Amino acid sequence: MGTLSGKNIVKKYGKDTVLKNVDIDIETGKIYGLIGRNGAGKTTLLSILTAQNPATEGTVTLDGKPVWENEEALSHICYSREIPQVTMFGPNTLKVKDYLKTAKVFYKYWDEEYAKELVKLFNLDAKKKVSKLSKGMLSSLTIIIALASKADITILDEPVAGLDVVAREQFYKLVIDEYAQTGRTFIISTHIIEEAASLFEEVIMLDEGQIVLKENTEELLSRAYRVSGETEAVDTAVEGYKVYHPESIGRNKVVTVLADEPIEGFDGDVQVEPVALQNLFYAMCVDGRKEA
Amino acid sequence: MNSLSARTRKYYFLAGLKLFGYVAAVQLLLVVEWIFFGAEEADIVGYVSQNIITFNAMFMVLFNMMFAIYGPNWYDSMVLSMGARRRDVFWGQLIKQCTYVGLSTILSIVLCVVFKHENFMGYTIVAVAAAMILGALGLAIGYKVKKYGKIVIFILLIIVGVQAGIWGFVLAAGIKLPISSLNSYIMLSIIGVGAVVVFTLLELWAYKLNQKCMVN
Repeated sequence: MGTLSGKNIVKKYGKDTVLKNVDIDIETGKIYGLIGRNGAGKTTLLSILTAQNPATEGTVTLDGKPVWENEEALSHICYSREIPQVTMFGPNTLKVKDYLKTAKVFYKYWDEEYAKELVKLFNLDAKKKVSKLSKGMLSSLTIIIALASKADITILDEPVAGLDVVAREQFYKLVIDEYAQTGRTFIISTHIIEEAASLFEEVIMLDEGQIVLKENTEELLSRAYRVSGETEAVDTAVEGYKVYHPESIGRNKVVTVLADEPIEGFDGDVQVEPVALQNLFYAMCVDGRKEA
Repeated sequence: MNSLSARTRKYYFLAGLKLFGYVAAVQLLLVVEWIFFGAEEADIVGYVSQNIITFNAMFMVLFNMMFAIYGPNWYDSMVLSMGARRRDVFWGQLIKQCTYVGLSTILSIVLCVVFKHENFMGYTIVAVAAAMILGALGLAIGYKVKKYGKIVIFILLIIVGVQAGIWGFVLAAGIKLPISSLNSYIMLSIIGVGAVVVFTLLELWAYKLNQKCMVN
């Protein structure tokens, strides 16, 4: 299993262009974190990569072969997304066991025993109707389908929404265990960045329909710094670097710096701290890129 | 049964069987009611069997269309999200409808023969044609509802209401349509060919909509 590639992906809904010439390569055998603000285009990108949504322009291939309507490619991909509690005319009366039975039919490598274990682990009542499930239980169901699919490329869109902290930790542990045992590729789109950050080998940041960053997480964070001190000293120290979200508090200033490569130290009397992924993301999103 | 096409077709075939099962269960309840209310009928067996044939035909048309409308937004969306291919979903829907309509037809024909209601065979055949056509139309409507929302249903209801009004007026005023003066065999042939043409066109439309559909 090689690379899931998207080239020049454009998606338009009427006059709105949601994705703008996105190029992305997903190499197998990694855990990716896909982060971005609401409306950035994360779900649209994931649904196009998995042939659940046609792109307006562009191509998606797996090992060089188109994914669209391709049985071989689709058999290696699982995109587990939120299950609707309401259908067109009323509540979703399908039961949990019906969903799992359907998943068993369509996912070629479905692991029934593992699915049963996960249902027990998440304390899900298989005879309950989807419309009666809480938000957390719905998330548990999407996680079960994703993990039990045993697909080589497994994508989870907001998998921990509604889960309590115990269930979230259980999920992260399950992903790590599954990755360690099988080497499956996971792409996890989440807003709870800090909890999941330690899982991500590579982080992809999407903003306004474009990929602004795709990098190894450790390498990215090794060149991100939080620089604070007196305003003049900070301005001098960070001159020439990409600076995000400068904040002034009286005579002091705090900035987030993303250097091109790791820095030994900053000149001047400033305090330098490492930056967590969530804080870096926040700084980059809040007011865009500014150079000091 | 490893290929995705085969698995998808089997899934929809079983869905068609389930649909027939649900409708048959509803009819069984009605049978109990007819037996109860028809207790004073001279020929209760004939009364009940005639009702089963009539309602079976009506349900065949109604439920086939209803579940076809539901399809794109619900079951089809679900299986597409699990990696099914659109063309398999299209053929699957056709298999589901043919399974349900086919089983209902067999039930009606058996009842017509066993209880000697041969005069209802023509009625059953017309119901089969209507069920298949409205099933194809229901599928196309389902895709449009998925895209534009329930407003499509309201627009349809208005169109159907106006049409019902026009046909009601035609019948009430005793207006003779050119087709009614034709020999009954020619008329049936025209209706039959027309039904096949309309069905084919509707299925082609549904196929085009299916190819572009998105998972919700």
